[in-house]
Amino acid sequence: MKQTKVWIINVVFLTAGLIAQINFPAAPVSFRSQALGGVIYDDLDLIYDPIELRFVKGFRLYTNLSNLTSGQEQILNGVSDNEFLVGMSAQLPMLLKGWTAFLIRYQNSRFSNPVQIDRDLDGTVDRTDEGYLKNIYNAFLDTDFDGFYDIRQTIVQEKTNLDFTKGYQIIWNNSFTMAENTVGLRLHIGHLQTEDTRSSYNLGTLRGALLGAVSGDPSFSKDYQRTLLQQEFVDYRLSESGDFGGRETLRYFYLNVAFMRPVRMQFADPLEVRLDAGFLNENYEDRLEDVYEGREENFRQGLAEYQDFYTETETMSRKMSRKGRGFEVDVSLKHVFDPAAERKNDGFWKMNFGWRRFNYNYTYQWGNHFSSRELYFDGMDTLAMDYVDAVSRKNVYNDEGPERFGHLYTSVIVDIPFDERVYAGLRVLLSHSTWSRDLDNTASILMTRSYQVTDDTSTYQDFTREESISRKADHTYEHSLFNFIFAAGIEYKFTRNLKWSLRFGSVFNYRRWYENDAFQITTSTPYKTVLTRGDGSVDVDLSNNIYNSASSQQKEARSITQFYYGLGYQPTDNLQIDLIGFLGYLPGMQILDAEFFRSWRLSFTLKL
Amino acid sequence: MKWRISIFIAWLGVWVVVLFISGCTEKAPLEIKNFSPPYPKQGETFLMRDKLKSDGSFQTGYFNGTIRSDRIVLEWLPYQGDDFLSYKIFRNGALIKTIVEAEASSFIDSGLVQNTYYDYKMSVLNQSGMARVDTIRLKTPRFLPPSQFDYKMVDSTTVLLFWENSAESATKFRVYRRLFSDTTSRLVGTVSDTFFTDSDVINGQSYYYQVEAFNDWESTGRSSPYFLQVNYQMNAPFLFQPRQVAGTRSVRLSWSDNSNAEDGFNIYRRRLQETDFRLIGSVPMGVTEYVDNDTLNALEYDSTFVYAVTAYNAAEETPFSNWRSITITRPLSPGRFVEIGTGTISWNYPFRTFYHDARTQVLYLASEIGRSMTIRKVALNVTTLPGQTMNNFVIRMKHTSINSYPSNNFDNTDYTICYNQALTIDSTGWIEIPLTTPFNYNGMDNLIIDISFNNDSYTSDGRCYATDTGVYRSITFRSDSGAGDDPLNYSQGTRSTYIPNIRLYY
Repeated sequence: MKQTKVWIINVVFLTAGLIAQINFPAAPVSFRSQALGGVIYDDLDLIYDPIELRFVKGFRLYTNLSNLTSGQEQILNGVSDNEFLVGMSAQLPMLLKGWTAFLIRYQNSRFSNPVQIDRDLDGTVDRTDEGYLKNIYNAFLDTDFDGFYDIRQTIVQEKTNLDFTKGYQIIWNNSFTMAENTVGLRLHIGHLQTEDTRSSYNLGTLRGALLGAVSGDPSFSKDYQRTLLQQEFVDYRLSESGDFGGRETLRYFYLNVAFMRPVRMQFADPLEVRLDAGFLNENYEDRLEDVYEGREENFRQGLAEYQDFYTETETMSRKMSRKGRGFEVDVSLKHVFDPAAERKNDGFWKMNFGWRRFNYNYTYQWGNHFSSRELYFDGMDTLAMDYVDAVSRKNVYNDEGPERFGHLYTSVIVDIPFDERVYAGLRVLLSHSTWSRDLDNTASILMTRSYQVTDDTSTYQDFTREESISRKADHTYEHSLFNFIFAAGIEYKFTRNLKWSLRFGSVFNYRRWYENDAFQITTSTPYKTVLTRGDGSVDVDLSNNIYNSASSQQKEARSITQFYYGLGYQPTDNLQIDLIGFLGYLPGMQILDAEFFRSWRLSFTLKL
Repeated sequence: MKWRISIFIAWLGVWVVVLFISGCTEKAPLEIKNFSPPYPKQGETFLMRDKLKSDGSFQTGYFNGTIRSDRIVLEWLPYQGDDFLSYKIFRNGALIKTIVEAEASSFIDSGLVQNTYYDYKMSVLNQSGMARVDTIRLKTPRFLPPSQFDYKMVDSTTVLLFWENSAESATKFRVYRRLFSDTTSRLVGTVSDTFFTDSDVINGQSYYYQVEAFNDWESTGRSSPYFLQVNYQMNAPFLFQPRQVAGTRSVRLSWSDNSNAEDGFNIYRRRLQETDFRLIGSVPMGVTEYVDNDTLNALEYDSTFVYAVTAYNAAEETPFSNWRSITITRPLSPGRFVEIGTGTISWNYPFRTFYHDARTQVLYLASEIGRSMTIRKVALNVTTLPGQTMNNFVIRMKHTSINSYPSNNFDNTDYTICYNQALTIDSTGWIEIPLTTPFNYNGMDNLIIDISFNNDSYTSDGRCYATDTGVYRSITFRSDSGAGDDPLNYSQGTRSTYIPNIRLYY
């Protein structure tokens, strides 16, 4: 569950461009590339590229053994992302000048969490289970100890505590050659969702015998009924229910079209001139809604019209969504100066530059709605005894408006095979990204209470009181990021048969960013109370009003160097095994520890 | 092909430069500005004053019904903005009404007290909690039934009833009448002025009258019953002995009124040797004195004239009263005076014009005056001119038995006002002040001369010669319009041993 959420969040960041290197919607990265600082590629990195696909020979098959979901799976340790994964690449059999590759990732999980029920409501948990639990409790009690049952208590309770994680990602990549030209089309779609049935807030007023709900409670319902057995009459009833749930959803659609034409140049023959265009449509939503209802009611035998009840409903809702679309354009030049048997081992240089622009509708909404109603009618002709007391409270906070993302970048990569054992590469990337949000911020509180004495001809006790406060503001957010990356990787093939590879990579990253956040009040109404009495007279009272606008700025710059390493082994022409992080990551781990081996992250690739 | 590569490389170079520049450019924090909530879209004044008052007068409101004795109707321009919250109306600082309907444009404040000022404050609040405030000061009208009734008989069947209006906003009056023996009154007329002519009365009968003031919106209720007995009498007046006004040839007449329905009196005169009286003047009802100043055509010295008086009204004139004759005599020769005081103290009383008001009461002894006389003029020896005209300059005189002042209390009773008008002194030396009413000094008692003036501002003192007598012979006081602002009624002052040097002309 936790891993799933992390996975979703990572994808969100990647797709929304909240990380410097915008590789949105991200295709899997090979272990070879991970170990070499992203400088040298493997077949996996090429088959999901709409142009490079045509250069990958043969058939490739990727399964869960390939460790492509997060790269963090530990096969020997049973640590898994719990996804179904299958991927392949091949030349289209009927279309000799066409190649295709796809990757399917799928997950549908439901987790049952502990539920506890206090069946007789005495404050002690009597029954524990997982997922869903329903309990019906019946008790016949002799309250006056005369040997006869006096009352019957019936308590029906249900609780549900589940987590859901489901979703899929599909990458379908195609490449075609027409004369000297190569055209590529890649489609990447995804739908990821997590869900739970627990409350995130404390709800209810705890009035009378109502217990309300606290944060973390599962969805529930409870119905308590007390029957006077001698009279066969139900004189008291209490019911509570909570319908809780949070749902986080990401849907995206990414289409990438590419065109490449080799050009003969004196200094670079051939020079691959390439143009990419992409379109992304994304819909992310994190929604939460917790609804609580409680009711307590007394009945009186012989008075059919008697009414005495209190009922309340409280709803907490929160919603954050980002919906929008964007475009990208990328132009690159690539020259393979030392072709190898496989494209992934070519000696080449490549330079590219690109531009991206995304527009979103950003929304953050938070709301708390509460209402209660108390009614008393004694069923008789008394005066000034019956009343209705109704309370309503609405607290709303909204941030809504457009969000824009812009990205400019350029990069140069050079991969050089020195000999049959040593293969090295360098990569430089320069990018500048900006995010901005112009949000309309509103916040308001509205409380009303209406009290009426219903059996009194005079109105002097009746009143309606309305208390409210509201505010509007311009909420502006800006983020600017300048990024410089210098990466280097060296792969060394050892053993005589050159089937083992030792890989080292380093990435130097300099980041410099600003973050501006301004909150400008534009409209504000003070806390006011409007009291309307039964005789029609009105009082309007205002409280002091304080307006607060603020502007903040954060500036940071960091330089980070990270090192990577990995191991590759190709026992046969049809199998490739890659390993990263094999020296462990826990302090004090010894090479002879079983845990040392269990923590290995392995990837198996089948080639035909 | 080389140039294409060169273009590409140049483009790439530009691209890299753009990246560096855009990435390395320092960005400033976002600007924010001070937020000020908007004020209501309402003018500075929105209460409709024109319907309530004009130039400080509330007559407009009184007569269009917006201001009544017990309620005031406030009207205003309704708020036109879309951010309305409420109207709030305060009376004398206390909130009396909150209105939440934006389209409301009036409010009736009832339960008010008549003849009372009220300070209203009205505010318009918008949703931002900001307010526009307008204020107005209004007064409810005095609204009491008529009072101070009086009447006059016009003839034996007609009575003119008049009263004093005590209702500021009343426009008409209803007059009710009943016989003394009846228990219920009936409406006998409606008038818009403060009198009513009842031409349906019977001489000798007694009536009760009640009058009610009203306007289009309210009435005062009936006044207390006014008892009136119809008793029409037109008899000749009784003329007292005429007296020659001292120092003049004028003749003062006085008579008694023996009628109750007269409009006034006619005064007749003839020379002794003539037979027919000639009308020389008239005075209105209530006046029983007349001064004959006709020295141009008559009243020569050593001549005798006969007077008679009649009472008249629109219906008739009574016969002549009894006749009275008088011979005009020559006055004593002017210029004779008694001078009291030889001191050379330059005293700032009685011309203490450094203050708004001042009063000087001086005691002159009979031994200093030396004889009985009719004092027609006084003179003071001025050394320094007063800085301004002394308004309400009053000289009063009376006899007294005291020789000095035992306390600093002014003597305020039984004076004869001899002079009462503004006095401007424009030269030094003996300044003569002719008395408009001479004072007959008896030659035995001591004499108090009380001199005062009453101004609204001050300048510099005037001074005159004075003598120190060694005993308390004067009481003085001055004020800047304080102490009641009427020096004639000062109760206490400061005693002094000085007396102004004075000449008493007779």
